[in-house]
Amino acid sequence: MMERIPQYLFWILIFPGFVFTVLIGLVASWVVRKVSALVQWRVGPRLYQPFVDILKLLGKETLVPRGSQKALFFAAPLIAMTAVLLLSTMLWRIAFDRIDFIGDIIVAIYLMVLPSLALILGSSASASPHAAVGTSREMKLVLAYELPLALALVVIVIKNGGQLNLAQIAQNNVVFSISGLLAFLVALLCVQAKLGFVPFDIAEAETELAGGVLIEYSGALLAIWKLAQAMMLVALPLFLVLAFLGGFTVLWAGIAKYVLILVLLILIKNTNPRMRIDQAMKFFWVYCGFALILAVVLAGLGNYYGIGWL
Amino acid sequence: MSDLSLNMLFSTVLVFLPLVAGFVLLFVPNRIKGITKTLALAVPAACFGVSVWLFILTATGSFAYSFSVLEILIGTLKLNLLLAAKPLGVFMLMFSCGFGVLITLYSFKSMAESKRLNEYFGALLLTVGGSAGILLSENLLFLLIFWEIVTASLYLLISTGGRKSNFAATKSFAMIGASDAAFLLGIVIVWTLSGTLIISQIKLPTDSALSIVAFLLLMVAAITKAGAMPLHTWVPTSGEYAPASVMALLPAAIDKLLGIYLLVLIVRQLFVVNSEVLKLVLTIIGAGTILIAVMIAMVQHNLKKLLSYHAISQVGYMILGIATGTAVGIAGGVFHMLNNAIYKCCLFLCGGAVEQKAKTAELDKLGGLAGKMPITFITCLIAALSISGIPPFNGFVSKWMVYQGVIDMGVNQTGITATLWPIWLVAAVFGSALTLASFVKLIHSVFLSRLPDKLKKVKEVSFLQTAPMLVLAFLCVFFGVFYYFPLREFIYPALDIEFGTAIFGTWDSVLATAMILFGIVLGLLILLVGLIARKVREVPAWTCGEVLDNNEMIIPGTEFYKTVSSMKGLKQLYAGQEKGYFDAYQQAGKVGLGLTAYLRWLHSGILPRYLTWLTVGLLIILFIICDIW
Repeated sequence: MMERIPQYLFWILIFPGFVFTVLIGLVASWVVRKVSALVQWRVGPRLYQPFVDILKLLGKETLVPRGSQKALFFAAPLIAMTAVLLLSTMLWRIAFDRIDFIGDIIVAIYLMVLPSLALILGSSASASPHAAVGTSREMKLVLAYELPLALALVVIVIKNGGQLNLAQIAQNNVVFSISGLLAFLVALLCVQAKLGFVPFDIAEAETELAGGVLIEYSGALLAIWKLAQAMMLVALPLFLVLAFLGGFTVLWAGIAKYVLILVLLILIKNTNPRMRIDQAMKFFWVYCGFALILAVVLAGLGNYYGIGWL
Repeated sequence: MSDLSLNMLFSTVLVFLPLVAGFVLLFVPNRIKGITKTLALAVPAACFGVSVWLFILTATGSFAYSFSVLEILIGTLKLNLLLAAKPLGVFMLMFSCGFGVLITLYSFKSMAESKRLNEYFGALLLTVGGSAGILLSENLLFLLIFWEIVTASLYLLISTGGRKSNFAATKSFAMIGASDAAFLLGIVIVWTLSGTLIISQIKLPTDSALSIVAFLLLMVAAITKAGAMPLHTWVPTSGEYAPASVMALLPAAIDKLLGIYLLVLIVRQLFVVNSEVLKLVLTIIGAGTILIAVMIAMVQHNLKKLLSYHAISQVGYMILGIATGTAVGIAGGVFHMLNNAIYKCCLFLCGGAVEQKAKTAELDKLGGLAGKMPITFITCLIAALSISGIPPFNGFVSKWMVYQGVIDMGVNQTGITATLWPIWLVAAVFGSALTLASFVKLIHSVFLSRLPDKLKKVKEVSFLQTAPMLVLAFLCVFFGVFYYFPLREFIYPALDIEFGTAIFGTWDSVLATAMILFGIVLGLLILLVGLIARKVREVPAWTCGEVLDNNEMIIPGTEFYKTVSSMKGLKQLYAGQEKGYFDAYQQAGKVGLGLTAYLRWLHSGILPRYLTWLTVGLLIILFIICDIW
């Protein structure tokens, strides 16, 4: 254990951890902004813009609201960033080495809740009524997409014969079946909601809550939030690639899969207006829920009768 | 020491010393507080020490504790009070004594103003002794007697909570008492079928109607004690009125240990569960309890009542895990029982501390206490994250094992319960998300949000109260990060599972925790860069220019889930629940009232009518006796 510490440090710090993930994440966030701009007939930012934004935020004053719970207010972005860092290191290692690392698919799904939870705690600690409304919405959004995500997990597990090991799951193309496709599409929407992208940016809702959960964050703390969000833009699609699309068997194919998911996310983001929270809950619980119950039944039947494409 | 003296020592200290001391304390006048406190602390501490010793002796195999305390011969029926160390019982005993010590420490301050201190500590000692008796007893009938001692002391303990607690105490006593009657009946049937009351000699197949009835009767006793649906309603009622320390000791910790102990006993020892129906019943109770109880918990406005519903909901995971019948599932269920006892006990203690200092447990009136009660906040947050199954805390590990148990059952077993595994899995996973939601509401309303003007003078509770919370919170972290330690030392030996064979998922918690710590250091460095560049400034919270006073800016968490509770379909269910339609106690009460009304109507006071009844009855008896047809 002791002699492996330098290696672990390298993994988490440089590759495939912090430096690598942040780099890809910021480039991906540039892609999001650029494509959104093109869709809206604007020119859009230059490639270095997300990097400059982070640097600029680091140099800005950090404001702390009076009456807030300061320790948690400062800790929340750190927890979020750490959780995404752990998740992305774990997923990258599984994608590149095709061996088990740290956790299985259930662990991955639970680690994906952590950034949202940190956001909820941070905003709840910031003593602002806007943030409190945002807290409530973010939590309800988590509740909304956890149900279809649990069902999607069931589909993946059925399709892999009870296997939980992500490296093993990544060997299969779950998406090449009716149930797998349904589960993939719904999981994609869940990722959309986890990223806080339109139409699920209900908790931030700049136009009504003035930033909601993030309203009181500024300066270095906001910079860390932005880093965490950029890293999520890497980790969450990567999870979809591993769980549904057959992982990184060939490097360029893996990159193509990641870009495909990114493009889908951007398209959904740019073609939909924001939902209300009750609409979002109904959407995930009723429509996505029913679609996935159908998927689970199909997957079960397919498994029982040995029909792969069901 | 010789084996005999060891046997005598263990029997005396673990079972009879607390029982006798507790019984004496019940009658000591209230003015003599010194003796009460000394006894109340010394006895559980001695029990704890001896139980640890017994555990080590049993685990290393150097001594097999087995002692026949007394034998009674009634006709042909031989009753002997045989106490013996079973791996499952011994490790639970260690924890139940440990909880006894922690709660006693906490109660010194929290119950200081109570007028019935001696009664309280007496009942507490009776609970410790009674549960030791249950966990060690080899004879089913004596197990029931110890079981009754714990029930009776629960009644006493709840009733120390002030005026309104009498109702709660009565309700608890009625419900658990009724389930104890079922227990007795079940024991009688088991005795008829197997001809013995010694636990280790009973192994009944569940193929006849009679043995299935016996199984169900014993199961009712187990799940009522543990507080699973549909016989759960005594927990929230007592949660509202009983002292928090009582809730932390019994419904949160010891009752869970005892209920799940009995359940494991009947599923793995007394019966061979080969009936698909029984398995389905257990699984539905498990999955249903998880979901329904947590849905109710989400909309509660009272801190302690909310915690009580979670105490119910968590039982579902244990029952579900045990019902799967797979090694990983059962181990997960029992591990979850242990974890739940730890974090739920901690949560109730935190709730009690808040109630004691803020003088209210209504979520609407609390807020912003994190700065005022930092230790309570941190321990409560750790326990809340544990119960919500957030890695790397202990609740996550046991839930993760239960999930694996369900998947294992679905893949490797046949039958209707196994085929329907996606339902159980989704209920468990989604239930965990709902738990998180409920605790976000709690943490927001009590500790975060904003401090109401009324609570400006609140201070942290004394060290005697924070120490137990800190111990429990430490255990939450320790059992989460080094989860193979409790599994290897406590759970697997108790269930006779070989280490390393059960779990088939991957969770390298130590490495993950190390990486989390490292990531936090990294984040701190980034933060430091920003903080060196520019200073931190404190400003009022931004309200878009509107001028609001402090109390207007507080948004309590109780409004968080209105969206859920006003959804179509759920709304009606919530309304029905609020009116007590699903409360077995209230419904049974209504049936009872109807019955008495009918009897009262019969009791008209008209003599000729009574005479008619008598004659008709006499005739019927005559007909039967004389075999006229």
